[in-house]
Amino acid sequence: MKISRRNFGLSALVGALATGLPAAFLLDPRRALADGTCTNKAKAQFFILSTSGGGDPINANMPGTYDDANIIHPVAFAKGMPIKMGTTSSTAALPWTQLSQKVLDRTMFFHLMTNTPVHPKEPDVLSLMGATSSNEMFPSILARQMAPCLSTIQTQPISVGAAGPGEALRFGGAPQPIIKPRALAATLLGTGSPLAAANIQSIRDKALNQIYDVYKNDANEAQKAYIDSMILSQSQLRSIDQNVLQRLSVLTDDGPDMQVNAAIILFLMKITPVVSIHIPFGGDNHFDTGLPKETAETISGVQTISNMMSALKAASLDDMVTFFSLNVFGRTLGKNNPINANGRNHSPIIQSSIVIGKPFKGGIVGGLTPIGNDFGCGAIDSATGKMAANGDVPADETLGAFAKTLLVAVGGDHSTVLAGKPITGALA
Amino acid sequence: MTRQWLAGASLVALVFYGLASGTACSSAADAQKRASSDDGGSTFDGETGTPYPFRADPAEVYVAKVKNILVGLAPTQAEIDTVKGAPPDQVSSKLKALIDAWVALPADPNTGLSPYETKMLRFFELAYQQTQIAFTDVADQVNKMSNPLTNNTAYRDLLMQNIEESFARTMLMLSEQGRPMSEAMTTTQFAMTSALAEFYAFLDAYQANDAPNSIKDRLANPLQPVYVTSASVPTADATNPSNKNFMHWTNPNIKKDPIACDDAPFKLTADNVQYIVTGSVPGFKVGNTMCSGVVGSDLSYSQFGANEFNDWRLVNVRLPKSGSEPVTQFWDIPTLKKATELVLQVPRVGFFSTPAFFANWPTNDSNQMRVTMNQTFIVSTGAQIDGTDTTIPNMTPGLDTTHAGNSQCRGCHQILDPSRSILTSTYSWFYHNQDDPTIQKEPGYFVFQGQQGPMATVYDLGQHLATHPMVAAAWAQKYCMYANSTACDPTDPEFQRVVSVFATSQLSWPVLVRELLSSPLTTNAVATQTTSTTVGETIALERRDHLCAALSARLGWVDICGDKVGVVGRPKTLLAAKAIFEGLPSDSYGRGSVTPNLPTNPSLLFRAAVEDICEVIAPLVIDATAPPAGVKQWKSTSQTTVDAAIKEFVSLLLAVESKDARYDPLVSALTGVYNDTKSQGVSLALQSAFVTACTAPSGVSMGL
Repeated sequence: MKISRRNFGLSALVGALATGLPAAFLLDPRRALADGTCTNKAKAQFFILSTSGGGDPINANMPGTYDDANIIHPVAFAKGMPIKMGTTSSTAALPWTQLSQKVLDRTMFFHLMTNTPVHPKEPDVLSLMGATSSNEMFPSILARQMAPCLSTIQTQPISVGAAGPGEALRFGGAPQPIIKPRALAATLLGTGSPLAAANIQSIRDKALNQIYDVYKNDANEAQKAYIDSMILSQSQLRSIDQNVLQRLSVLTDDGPDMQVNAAIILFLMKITPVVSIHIPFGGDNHFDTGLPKETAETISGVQTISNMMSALKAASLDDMVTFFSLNVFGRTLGKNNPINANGRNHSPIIQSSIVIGKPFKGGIVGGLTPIGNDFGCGAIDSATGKMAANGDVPADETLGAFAKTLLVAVGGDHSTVLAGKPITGALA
Repeated sequence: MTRQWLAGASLVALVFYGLASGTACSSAADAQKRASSDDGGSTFDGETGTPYPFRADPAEVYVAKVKNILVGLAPTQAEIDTVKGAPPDQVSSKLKALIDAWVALPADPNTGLSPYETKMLRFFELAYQQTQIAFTDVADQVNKMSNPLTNNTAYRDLLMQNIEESFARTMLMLSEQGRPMSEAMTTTQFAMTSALAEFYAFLDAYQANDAPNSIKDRLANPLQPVYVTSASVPTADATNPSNKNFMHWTNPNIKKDPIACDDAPFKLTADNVQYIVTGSVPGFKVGNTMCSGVVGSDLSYSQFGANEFNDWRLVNVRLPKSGSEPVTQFWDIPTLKKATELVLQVPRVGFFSTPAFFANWPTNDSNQMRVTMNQTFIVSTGAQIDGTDTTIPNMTPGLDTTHAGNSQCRGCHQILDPSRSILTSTYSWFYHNQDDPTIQKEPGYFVFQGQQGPMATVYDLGQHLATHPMVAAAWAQKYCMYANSTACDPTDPEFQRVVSVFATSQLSWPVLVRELLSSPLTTNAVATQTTSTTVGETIALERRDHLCAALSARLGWVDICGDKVGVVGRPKTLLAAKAIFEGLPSDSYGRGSVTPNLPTNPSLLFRAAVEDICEVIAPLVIDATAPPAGVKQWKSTSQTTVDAAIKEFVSLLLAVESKDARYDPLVSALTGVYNDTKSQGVSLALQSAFVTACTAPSGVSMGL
């Protein structure tokens, strides 16, 4: 007996007709499910976002942080190593330099500021601190714009790595669930029950479509809309590619490498255009005297990114997926800042993101400038991407500029981001 | 106030958040998006951006909704008739009478909890932010050991369950004593088991000041060794300082080490004794002999059996009356097993000083209790420090002058810093006693949302919170969100009436439950400002806690989702499905968020999960060869049993009773599944009919 519980059967179509869904949905459920129109299919990308509400010190050892001797690094990374990204040469902690040159040539280190030093602002930072249409989260803006281009089954992004509800995503204001890799695998692989056989399942689907009609028959409008969403989710479930499903069996834990694998499988199954994960880079390291945790997790974090790039290549998705990081804030850097004696504090004026993808030129966007006894991000010249005292992107618009740059790079509509301007100098 | 500011729970968050971050709330646009076809929510019409036209729900729908929320069960036809047949002016009182009857349903002998207590326990655990922790989160409070509570995982899992349940059970017990819910902020009584009482005392065996690695072991005594012996020593002797066998603890596993280890002296430390108490043998050295220790793997040889993780009672925690009064010792097992009072050096008052709350919200030298204070405000009053509080403090002791020097920061810091100072003057960053005399002398000043006043002790903080005028509305709102998956409009006269009744009742929790669940805010029986104008009616998926409670209650299962440890007889297939249950969308709270995360959209992953779960359950309730005791069973042995089963699927799983117009078509559809599948076996066919019912709209949703 073939276990094929996710098949999209004829019965579902028949049922959908009965339930009054649009004909477009019946003819091409994936396209019909997408939200809006595609602006540039050729440039569209899937996205993996790594985010941390703890404000991990991913910014602390990147290229750009070795340009000033007053920036503190862990002992293991005290000596910066040469790194080349495209035509840009710089210095970075050893782990970053060990990414393959091909990866580095499409890696952008973007120095920006989130303008908040407090953990609870993580959702606000993901909403670009209010600088988005309808206060939508940036990952959801990406998802809305990429879904029609990539013909994904659903538009909503999926979080497989949120370390807590603070890192959960919202879509159109609606909270989205967090599903960790093991739960994702268990849910989509099912239990192998004989009840999941395709022929038995299609009988149930047919009956459920009758049942949906029973509920809609005397329902009010809110109830009808909800039942429509149930019909939709049933149809979405049946449209999952069965051939990719078994790949989920590799998801044996919930760690960052498995989160990456989960994202890749979700892309291969075309379930969603955006997946959020959490790669630890040292955590909320106030008490990390000597920075051993930062050292260890910088090594493991970069290794996860390296593994991600290998996995994407193996899945033939390396040109189709962009990875980027965006944390609630960055960490303080100043050697002369007493707050850094036992670890690092929150910084509202520097948060450095990494972006890796085909649409991007390898290099450094923006830079660090001394502010008081610490460092903040500088203004940026949008044409070159370089830090410039009189740059046309002031420091407090770098977050918006970052988002706009990503949108432009993938052929998206950047007018949905209300601050900053695209850094054209960063685009490949 | 218009609908533009309030379109559901997330928008309430935006009100609080958005203002803080200088952003306007664009809730109408948000609402449009939420109502679009794949956003779920279904509160607003995606075309117009307004709530769908209000149409009252019939008794069949709202009686089922209320009973499900309250106890997880489906209503009977008689219960529906009670309300449906009542004159309009008596509908509310009839529903309240039903609610009272459901609250009074008897306890399950397996759990000792009634269906109402089972559901309320979970609500309180979440609302008082006592969950979402792992044992490693408690590490700061217990010496940052690699296995901070014990290395015996069986013991540890039960203890963690106790830690998470304790305050929720406290509120259940206080509520059942008729105490106001504001005692959540002032109580020094906490529901404890014997094992949990030991843990509270164990925490007290340490002192850690603000500096990292400053931990001190108050038990350590170089003159008094400890012994593990294979001989049988009564615990009363081992814990009696005047007995010759004082600190000689029995654990036959010592025989697995060299013979020289048996009853050999080694160092008395809190860690070592805790290992022994929890059933392990620590590693130690006798002369040149290494005793490598034996890790306990179950409750054997631990000082507490399974019943002592379940002997809940209220235990008062107080400080020593004088410097010389001895404190409760965690190794004094006989005393702890009957304790109704603990004398401890770390003050414990209200939900905000429990080990679970502290584990949730660790602080540090930079944060300096601001997270602890802000989360305390959120739980108590439903509001937080976000820059919108216009209260001008009369004084600002403890104000961080560095932060407050910036005018943008001062608005928050001048309120948060004086308030949190009572926590910094009481507790160290690791939630032990503050021992820095300079910080001790600065108890701060309570300031929040129009209220202010001096504080001398952390108990005063509890009093300020308990008497804060926002408490009644905050807790009505929390329960509204739990019941309706979205916020009630706080300006809605009906919501304000509910709040008023709650406040007038001296914050009686049962009164709030009865009033809110019988209110049209929940029933949609008549239009309210919330349901017809500003928010609309929210139909939502049954999030994890509701779904698990409903399936457990209706099918006669103890904890079908496997949330609880210590439940015996759970079938292997259910155990194997644990990851699926864990992946269901659930209520959760986040740092700095005044509203819980409440997914409402039945996404494809939710659909897949419920289908999986129903497929796992079906063979356990239909023609099961060895059904667990008490679990509902149906048979496919004859057409009569099949017909009866299908009818019961509709009434029990879908909560649709026989007089409901939907009943016959639903029975017909399920019968169709059975008939169309029968060729593959009648048992499989009936199971498939069960799965159909189990995944159908009113089985997995709230408000249909």
